[in-house]
Amino acid sequence: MAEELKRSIQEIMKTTPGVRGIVIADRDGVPIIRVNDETVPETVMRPGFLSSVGFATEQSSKLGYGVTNHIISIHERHQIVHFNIPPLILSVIADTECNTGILLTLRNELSDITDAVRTAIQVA
Amino acid sequence: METHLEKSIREVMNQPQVTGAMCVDSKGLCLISKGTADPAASGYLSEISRCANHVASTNEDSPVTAIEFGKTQILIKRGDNVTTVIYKDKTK
Repeated sequence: MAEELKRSIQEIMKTTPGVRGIVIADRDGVPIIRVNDETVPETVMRPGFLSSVGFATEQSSKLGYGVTNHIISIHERHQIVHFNIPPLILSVIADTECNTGILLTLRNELSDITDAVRTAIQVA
Repeated sequence: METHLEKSIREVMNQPQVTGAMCVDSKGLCLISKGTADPAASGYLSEISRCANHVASTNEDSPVTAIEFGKTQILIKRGDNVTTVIYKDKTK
């Protein structure tokens, strides 16, 4: 199943130029599925980094604007969009100059995959 | 800043045939949207405009891109930092 999901993610990555990697992790930051090319820094895949996103999501949800949908961080070489899909965190890593608006549509495009992962986690 | 943007968008919405309007920043993120304009499409619309710019743009001006549907027309104009999108109903 994991290989099938990875192939589907790769297909979606091909249709969105500039996307370098997609990681689906659990709330603790443990990567469940990851697809990336060699340009993505290894640090992005570390549970320490991914779990900090979960923490930031929780904290920002306390601002009084409702549940956090996504967090965008734009760096020198890459931009990362983290989607809060409880109990998962979907992270999309792309080039800095990539269109952020299009990256935000990936939440819907990847919804079948995140649903499958969520179901698998809940069964386990 | 938002007040000025809101005012401008309201003026656009008051024009005949206009059913929706949206402003998109240089990263494809929706700044404001009114009426039938779909904020989720902001990224694609700004990218379409960017591509049109590569096809035909002069030093002074960027082109207006029109997407035609049966009843609806979408007009996109790219500025320096903001792309403006207008949705029009051709049947009205």
